[in-house]
Amino acid sequence: MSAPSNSPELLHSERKDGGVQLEHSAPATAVNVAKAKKEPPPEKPEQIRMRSFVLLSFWAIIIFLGLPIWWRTTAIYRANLPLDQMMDWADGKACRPVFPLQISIQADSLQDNEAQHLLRTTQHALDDLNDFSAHHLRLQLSPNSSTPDILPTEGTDEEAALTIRLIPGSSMAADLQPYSPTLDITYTPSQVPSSSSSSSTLATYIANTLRTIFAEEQAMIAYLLSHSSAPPERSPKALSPSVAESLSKWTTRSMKYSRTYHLTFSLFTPTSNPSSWAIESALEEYMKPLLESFSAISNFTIDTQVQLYATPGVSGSVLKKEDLSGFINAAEWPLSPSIGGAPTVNFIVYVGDMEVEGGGKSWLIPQWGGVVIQSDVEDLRPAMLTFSNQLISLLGAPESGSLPLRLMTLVRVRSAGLLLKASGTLGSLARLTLALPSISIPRSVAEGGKEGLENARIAEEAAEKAFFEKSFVSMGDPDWMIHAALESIG
Amino acid sequence: MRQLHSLLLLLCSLLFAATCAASDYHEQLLLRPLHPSLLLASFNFQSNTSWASFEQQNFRYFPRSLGQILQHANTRELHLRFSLGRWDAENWGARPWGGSREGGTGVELWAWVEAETDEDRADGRWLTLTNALSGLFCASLNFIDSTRTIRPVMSFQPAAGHANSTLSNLHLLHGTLPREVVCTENLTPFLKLLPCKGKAGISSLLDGHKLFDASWRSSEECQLQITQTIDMVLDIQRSKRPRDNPIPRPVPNEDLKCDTSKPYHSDDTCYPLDTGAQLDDWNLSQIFGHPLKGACPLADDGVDPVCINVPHAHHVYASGGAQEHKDETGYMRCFELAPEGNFEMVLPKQDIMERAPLEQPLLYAERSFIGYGQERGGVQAILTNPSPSESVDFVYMESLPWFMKLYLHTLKAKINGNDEDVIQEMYYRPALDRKRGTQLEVRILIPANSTVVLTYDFEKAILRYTEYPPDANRGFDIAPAVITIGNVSIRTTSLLLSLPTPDFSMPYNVIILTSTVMALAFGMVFNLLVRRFVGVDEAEKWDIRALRLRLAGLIKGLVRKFKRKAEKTE
Repeated sequence: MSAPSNSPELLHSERKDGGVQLEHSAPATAVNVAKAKKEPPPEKPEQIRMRSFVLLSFWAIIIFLGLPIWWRTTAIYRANLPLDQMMDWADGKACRPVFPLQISIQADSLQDNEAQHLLRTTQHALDDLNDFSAHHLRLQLSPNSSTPDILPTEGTDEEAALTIRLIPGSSMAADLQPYSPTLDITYTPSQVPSSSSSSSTLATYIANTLRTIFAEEQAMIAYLLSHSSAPPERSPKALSPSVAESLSKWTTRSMKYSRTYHLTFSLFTPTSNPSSWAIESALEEYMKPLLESFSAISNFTIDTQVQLYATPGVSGSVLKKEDLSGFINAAEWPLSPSIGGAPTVNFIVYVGDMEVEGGGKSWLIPQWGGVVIQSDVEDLRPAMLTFSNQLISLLGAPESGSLPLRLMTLVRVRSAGLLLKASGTLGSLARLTLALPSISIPRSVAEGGKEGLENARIAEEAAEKAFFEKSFVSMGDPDWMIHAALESIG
Repeated sequence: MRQLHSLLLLLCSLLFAATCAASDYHEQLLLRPLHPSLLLASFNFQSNTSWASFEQQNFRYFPRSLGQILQHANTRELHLRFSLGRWDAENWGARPWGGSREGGTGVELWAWVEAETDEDRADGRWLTLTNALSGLFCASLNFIDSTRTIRPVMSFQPAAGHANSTLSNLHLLHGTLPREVVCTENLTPFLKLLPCKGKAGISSLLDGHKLFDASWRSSEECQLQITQTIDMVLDIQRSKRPRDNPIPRPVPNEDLKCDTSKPYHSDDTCYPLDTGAQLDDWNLSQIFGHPLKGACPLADDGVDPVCINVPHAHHVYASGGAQEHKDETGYMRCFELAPEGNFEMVLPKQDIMERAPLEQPLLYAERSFIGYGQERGGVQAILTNPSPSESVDFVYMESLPWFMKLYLHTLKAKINGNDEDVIQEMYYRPALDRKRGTQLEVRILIPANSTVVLTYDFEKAILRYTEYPPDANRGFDIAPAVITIGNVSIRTTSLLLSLPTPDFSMPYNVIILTSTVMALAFGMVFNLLVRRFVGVDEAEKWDIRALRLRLAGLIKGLVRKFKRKAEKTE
């Protein structure tokens, strides 16, 4: 401390002798002064060594202790994720969705070898028609119904998606049973292929009919596959633009899959009348049977409410198309989402004399529900029928075909969709962790990801079965798991 | 202390099991002048639904949003109370509805939750319930955590009608949020629960007014009921101020009511007359801003929707179409509303001294802090039985936060200044730090015309510095004590407990100070170790003077250049 305090004094006193001259002379004089400086005594080597040790240990502590501690304490924790496997799933390498559908043919009236031959030719015709390997139909001969006791267990493990009954008749016609997955085909005996010919009109006819029936399902699955990140060589040929457009509407319209849906039926009236409606009996009569048939896919809870003095978000007696989205007065109508995890589907009966431009009185709100405008609530049948249709399309079922076929198609399409979505989510998670190196990956995410993969494996196996079985539940898991994992990333 | 002009109380009454299948709804507004310038307005809305349609979730009068929450949380009975202000029992008499629809200041919530197995299950459902209600009513009910929840033993009884089998599985949980401020954002969801939604009927008078409370109860037998009540005490003068210009202004000279008997009374001197004896004139639209918009068509015909509690001698004018019914007691008249058109009621100015008698409360209760200092404190509750003949048996319940550590041995009850044994029964559940609060229930018998002073001491805990609320120096609100006398309940005011608050900038000061000291010490030691000390004349010098000269020369040169440039441009 003494050295710095002395130095100003010293400088000062030194200048005193030649102060005036120095003011005006060149700085060269200053250099002379410096040259005249006394040299300090030489340092001992151990002093120099000691100083080097001090400096060395100072830097050693900083580099070997300080830096690692700083590095460790400020590092972002990134748990190990099975990235390769996750990417495999996303790229469709781990799981190839294939949809072989069993079609059984009941041909009681044909000879065994005739039937076998018909089967072969029809299968051949089908394979010629089909260009999409992931979804194909496989025919099999069902055991003769007149001898049902011979092989009672055969065919039970793989339930047929459709049963074709061949009935001899006077002309060739196909008739899809509305309430069972059965297709009746009548044929004239002359159309039965002889054992020598390689094709026949009956076989071609059956193949074409089947193809028409399953065209929509095939298009849906093709659409799902083409929108997943599966490698392009496995994607089907491009869908025609009109089909693609209707399918993209289908995806925006249908609700996300859930194991339980809440259905809320609400009566809104702008005045105090009517204050009650016969909803219980209407639901019992028109809704419950439909929901029962859906019970293999999802559970449903129902609640109803009556709301008086409710004004819609738009006014006027003719609603324009663009008004429809504003019709639901979300601020005032108590359509709060249900508590608990399940999504709510809202069905609204609005009492009034309004009309949609063009004459309609009901419309569907994608992923939300449906609205019906009625002038009174005496008869709820039309509203309930509209709601039934809206519910089916909100759940994502195809538009054509008989009800059992539509339901089975829904099961298959839903499983494919969930599988692809789960794979896609796994891939997104993997890409996210790669793209953001500074994001922290807590252990729970790693566990969630691993569990997701595990479930995906189970789901794949279960899905393989589920394509042929009516009960289908396990598919919800991977999707849910990964969502949980993603949420925990925040 | 009656400056608090609005006070809200709420309660539910169970009209038991009339018909099993019918759902019905009725509503009633009871107006009661409390004091010449104060008016109590009690709104009562009651909807019933049958148990069957509740189970099927077919909601007609019963709100679906609430019904769903109750089912999701397995709640069999729910009471939710929001309150603001203080009821002045000395001047206003007994509380409306016997205090049974009233809550403590802030929010009070209690519910009977069904859980077959253990208490944890019930706690989980209670958590679900508070979170869901928090969203429904826009209130911070989700802050009712385990430290604010107690399980009262003696104070609350479930409504009649729960089946015995359910009764054994019911868990009563009680939570308070004394700090919550009730405002209009809580009223809007309240109105949405009503079938007529404030568009018709007495609920049309409620717009942005201050308080509400809802309670709900169910009975296993066949009925399920929601009762929503709003009680408010309005200052008539204040309410009559124009909406668009609510600033109070001095009364103009000509409107002053002067005592003309005074000798100094003249044009410029006035002795104001005591207007307390005179009833203010008022009408419904002055008080509530607009007239009543017709009857709610859903309400049962049996109940008259608007009643006023004034002596029959008073004049009350109602708009046409409304039918007046006077009852036999001589102090109550009700109006049956015409289905269409607005309803207006006018009380003209009148010099009638007679007033409807105020009901005397069963008990006067007052609670305050005693003691001094930052370390310990005490609570004193003064409970007075005004009745000259009847003794009162009641349960006094306190729910105290864990940081107010009660010394149970200091709990003393003095009757009229003497130590006498008036405590009949006591239930005490001590607090656990940061886990649960203290629960104290005391059954006391007060003989007629006596005063009991209940005191106890407590210690103020020192909190961790993150546990203080943002405005720590304001203090902590302590929930009101609940006094239950049979069906009547009384709540004291909430208390403001000031805890020793730390200097919140202290951690930063400490960090800065220690860093400075360490830097100084280390720097010095390091310098001593690596510096070499030499004589003054031996040290290498750094000639500041030469540097200064050079700098000065540089600046001069620059200035000269600049000047020359400036000359050229000119």
